[in-house]
Amino acid sequence: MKETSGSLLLSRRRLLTTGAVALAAPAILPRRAFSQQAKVIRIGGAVPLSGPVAYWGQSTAQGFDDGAAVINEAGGVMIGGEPHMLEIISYDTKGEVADSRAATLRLVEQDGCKYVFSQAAASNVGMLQVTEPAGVLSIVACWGYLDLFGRDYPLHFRAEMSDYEQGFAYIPFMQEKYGKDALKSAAFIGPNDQDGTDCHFSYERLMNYYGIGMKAVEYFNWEDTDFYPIVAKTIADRPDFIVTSPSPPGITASIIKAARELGYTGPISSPAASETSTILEVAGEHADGVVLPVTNVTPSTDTQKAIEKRFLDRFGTFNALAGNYSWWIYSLKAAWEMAGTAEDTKAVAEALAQVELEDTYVGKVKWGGEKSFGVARQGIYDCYTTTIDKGVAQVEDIRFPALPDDY
Amino acid sequence: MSDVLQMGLTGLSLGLMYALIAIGLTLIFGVMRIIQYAHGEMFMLGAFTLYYWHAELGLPYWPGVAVSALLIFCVGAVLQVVLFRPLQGKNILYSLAVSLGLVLIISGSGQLLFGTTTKGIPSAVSGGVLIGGAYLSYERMVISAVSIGLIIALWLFLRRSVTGFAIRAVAEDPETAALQGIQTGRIHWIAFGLGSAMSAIAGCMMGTLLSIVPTMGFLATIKAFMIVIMGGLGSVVGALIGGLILGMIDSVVTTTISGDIALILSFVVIFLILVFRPSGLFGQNWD
Repeated sequence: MKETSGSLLLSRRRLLTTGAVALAAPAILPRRAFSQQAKVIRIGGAVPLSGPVAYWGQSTAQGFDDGAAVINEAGGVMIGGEPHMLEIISYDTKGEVADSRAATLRLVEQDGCKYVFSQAAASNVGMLQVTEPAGVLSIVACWGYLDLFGRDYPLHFRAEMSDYEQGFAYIPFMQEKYGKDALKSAAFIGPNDQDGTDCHFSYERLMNYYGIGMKAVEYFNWEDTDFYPIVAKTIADRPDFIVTSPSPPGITASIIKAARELGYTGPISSPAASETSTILEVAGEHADGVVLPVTNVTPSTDTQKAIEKRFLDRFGTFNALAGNYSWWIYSLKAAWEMAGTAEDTKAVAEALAQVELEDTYVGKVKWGGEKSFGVARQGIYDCYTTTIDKGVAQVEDIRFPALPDDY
Repeated sequence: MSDVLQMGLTGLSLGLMYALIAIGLTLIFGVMRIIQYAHGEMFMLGAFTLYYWHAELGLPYWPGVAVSALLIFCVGAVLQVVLFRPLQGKNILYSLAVSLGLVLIISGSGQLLFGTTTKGIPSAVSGGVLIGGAYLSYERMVISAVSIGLIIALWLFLRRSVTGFAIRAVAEDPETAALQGIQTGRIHWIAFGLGSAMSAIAGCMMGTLLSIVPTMGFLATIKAFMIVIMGGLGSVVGALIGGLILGMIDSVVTTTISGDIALILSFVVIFLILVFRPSGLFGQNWD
């Protein structure tokens, strides 16, 4: 299924709205939007729009659709004094490697996209099989598969902070909140796939850095329905706190609920579950004491409020995750204008690595990781940490990750 | 000791929920001899019906479960009349293809209609009790009680009611049943609706305990098929025993060893049962 800019819509109401807008577009849009002379930069999305991780994919695509509309309305991207309009083309990968590879091939060979965005491990793996050999710049959210990141993939950017980078913001926050002595040991729960084992690797590095002892390490199957057994095993070792990573909101909520019901009272942090409403709905009264890094549930700056409003108007929905992904396209815009080209992706990649944005939904943004990965291709930004207390989620801490010198 | 009890209680509640899903599937196969791959989709639709009734509209929980069961009964009955009745007597692959198509249509439509965000159904009860050091939430106790009650009710319905006798007769020998004056067409849609309603109630229960997404049906179908194959196609008792075995393996092995081993062991147990009893624990030879 092909999705074009602004059309990633699901509900009937949104479908009807889109239809009406499409019919009225020639009458109401500025003429330049349809100008034959305007140059166009096509950005492809190889993202899961259906299947278990569709929530992540749709949030990512919404960021590009919204950003492209905003940039186009403002006159486009100025390269060499010439305006370039943005067109977003998204295909559904269903969260599968093969479908992602096929979608990316189509984006690159048929649609002529030199820029592709993707979301989650499987789609990222399929996409990378096409983009790097074709000289296409990719920008994704993916924490695992670290062997597919770094010096050997110079056109590949990971915009979302992984649990590792987030840790340098939320672990100090937790130590301040609960006291260092109260957080001497931790347990890890993650999925039994490469994403899970890679995240455990990051978790180990993080805990070693902060001198926190590691107790239980448990992996769940995606086929698991009840988390009582795995949680019972985890809390038997009496860890001071539990980290679930990278677990989607529904699973995280089920883990939290099981842990609380089984008597565990310590903090539970979930670096991947930026969806507080699900956690509150599923875990209910048991959600207290949950720490959610990179989750800004209360937009406070003018920029954040404007993004929230636009998303609600355009898509009828908004969540912290979509906000987190909304800055990617502006980073690309800055890179095109800095490089003075959209054709030479290598030049754009070098420029992109230098881009710093001050005022996005996630606050200050820059690219880092040069010492760790050999290239600065990892997005780093202000970490908005939300906590849940007495059934209410609120942002309790904002800080830029204090990454080690050798990062 | 409390750990063992905790594993046992968790396994029991899990097994009863599994059994509830599987019994509907085995009932449909027993009566109609069709593979209903979209059984998990009825599970999902049941959960979402309750979600909109209870969480969105704020209407009472238990009537919502009844409405969900009734609605999905009707959906199942209509599907049987419209899609599966014309396939009666044809190769089982036809019904397999139709039900696989239904899976794609219903889960895809579910994502469009309900969205892809995980949702939760507020529980009707909260709190719990310590039994010998093991914690048992009231929610799990209620769900287990409902599962047991429904299984007993179904068993009594099949054994004591006229329609139940007719269902068993059609399951045993449809042609002879028809010669005795039983309207097999009517029995087919009743059984299909009943099986779907059982799945919907299981969806309501598990959806409340865990969380719901439009793609949740796939895993429910897999679990149901594992149980039905273990217990024997068409056997209600087999589905109950199979559900309890799977629930206990999930609980005990995951707690003591790991979830991966539990999954492997589940299939090893199924293979062993099929080696020694090719028709499952309580199944008939359908050849």
